[in-house]
Amino acid sequence: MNALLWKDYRVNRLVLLTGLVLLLAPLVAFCTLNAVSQWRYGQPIFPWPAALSFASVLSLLLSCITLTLLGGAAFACERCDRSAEFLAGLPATRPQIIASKVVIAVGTGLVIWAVDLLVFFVIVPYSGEMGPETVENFANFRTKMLPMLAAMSFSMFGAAWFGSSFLPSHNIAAGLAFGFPVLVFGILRAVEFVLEQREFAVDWLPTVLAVLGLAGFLGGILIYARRVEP
Amino acid sequence: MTPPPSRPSAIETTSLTKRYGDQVAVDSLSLCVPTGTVFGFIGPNGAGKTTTIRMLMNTLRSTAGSARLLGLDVACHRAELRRRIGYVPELHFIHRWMRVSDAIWFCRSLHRTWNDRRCRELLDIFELDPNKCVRQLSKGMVAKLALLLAVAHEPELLILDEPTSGLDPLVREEFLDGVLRTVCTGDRTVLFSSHVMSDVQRLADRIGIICGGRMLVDSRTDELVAGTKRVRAVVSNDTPLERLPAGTVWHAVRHREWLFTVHRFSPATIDELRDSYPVENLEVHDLALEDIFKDFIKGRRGAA
Repeated sequence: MNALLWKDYRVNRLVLLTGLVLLLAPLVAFCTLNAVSQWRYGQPIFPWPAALSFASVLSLLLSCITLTLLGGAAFACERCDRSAEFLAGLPATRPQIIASKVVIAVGTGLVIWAVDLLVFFVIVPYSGEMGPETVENFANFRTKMLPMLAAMSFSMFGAAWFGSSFLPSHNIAAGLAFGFPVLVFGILRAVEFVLEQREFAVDWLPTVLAVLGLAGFLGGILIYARRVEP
Repeated sequence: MTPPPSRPSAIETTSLTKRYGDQVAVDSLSLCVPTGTVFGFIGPNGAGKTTTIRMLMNTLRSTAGSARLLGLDVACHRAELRRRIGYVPELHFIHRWMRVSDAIWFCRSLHRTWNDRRCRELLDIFELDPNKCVRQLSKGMVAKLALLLAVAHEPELLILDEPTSGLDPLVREEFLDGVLRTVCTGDRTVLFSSHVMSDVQRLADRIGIICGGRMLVDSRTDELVAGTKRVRAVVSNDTPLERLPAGTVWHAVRHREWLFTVHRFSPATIDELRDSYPVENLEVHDLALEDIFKDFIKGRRGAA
């Protein structure tokens, strides 16, 4: 199992590095801007709680890219460069192969979310006095943005993972998954139009995306486990 | 007295078939390779060799029929078989970013029966530098690495799919020496496909010729080479050829000169010709494996 984990880490190293950059870039950028402003002009550009909360939300939004790339690369990357055929000749079982890929992809997603949520819920409240606008944004994020971002990330990851289980290229799998939330939103808007029910699409989007993401993830595992070809 | 137990087949397929739509890649292939045999699997391009091997390795789903390796159904005992089989595909897709030592460590971690001493021996024999990346290796060196990775766990069955294709004669020689030294000993079974008849004749003690997805012949190498003859008959007038001699795999008629390639040739073939036709002159020639192969293929294509 360690060998498979090492191999999957190595195969996804570029995506993981991209994920690290996308995770830290907004936080580093906002912190640097504020720190430089504080040093030169005696006060930050944005209030620290607002800067950190915005940076962590942006970081969560960017994590969709990382998770989609990881989901798309899961199985199809090695199929695309045909190194999957090398693995197919070795005595690694399908459950072992899947488990290793789940650890790398889901583990990365959890780490990214853990860091961003830690910043948002633990560091932001201690970073300074929150003005009324920041308090409102904070509440808005907790109740609306967070579930939406989580559902969107998971649905894109699930769609990419599902595509990766049978498509010949990770680029196709990830490319299709990037448009997935838009497609679902479009369908929900069509349903909203037919049902003549206001806010139907927005209300139901997180739930539908989360369910479809889970279905894609489980479906991808099932397809790959039952598949004979590498 | 109880008879001695018969040796189980290392490879056994029953009506193994693969269709892609209307195209039949492998057509009801029934094959039986006894344990301890080095089986040369030959055929022209697109004959179905790689498709058959991929079905044996269970990396391609068969349309019909079944395959058993080492007595186990390939569809049900995937991981168990991978532990007991070594596989060298035609193209080697070892991760290019891996160093030789990484690739060895990776495969060693997955094989319980990995033999470190054998691995070190092979590294020396093949002159592989453990610190080199796979992408820095020449095609011949990658082929050698693939062979090392396939045999260092001491498999009971080794499957090689055109392992020497694209290699220069010198590297091919070294590669085959490696196979002979490491695998073609004891009770190990080897199945290898190749286009190079000299390699097949050198290694294989049994040969199967496949064309159009069908097995044309499956015979011991010595019996195939010794028992397949070219018969040249010159008849006295423009007598029409009415019936081919038994065992004819290919024939050509050029006015009064008739040529036959006869499998399982016997003196009765000559008698049959002399009795049936006004034969003026009759010669029997030995054939090299390459000519035998060509005649089987030409005969099959002519019949089709």
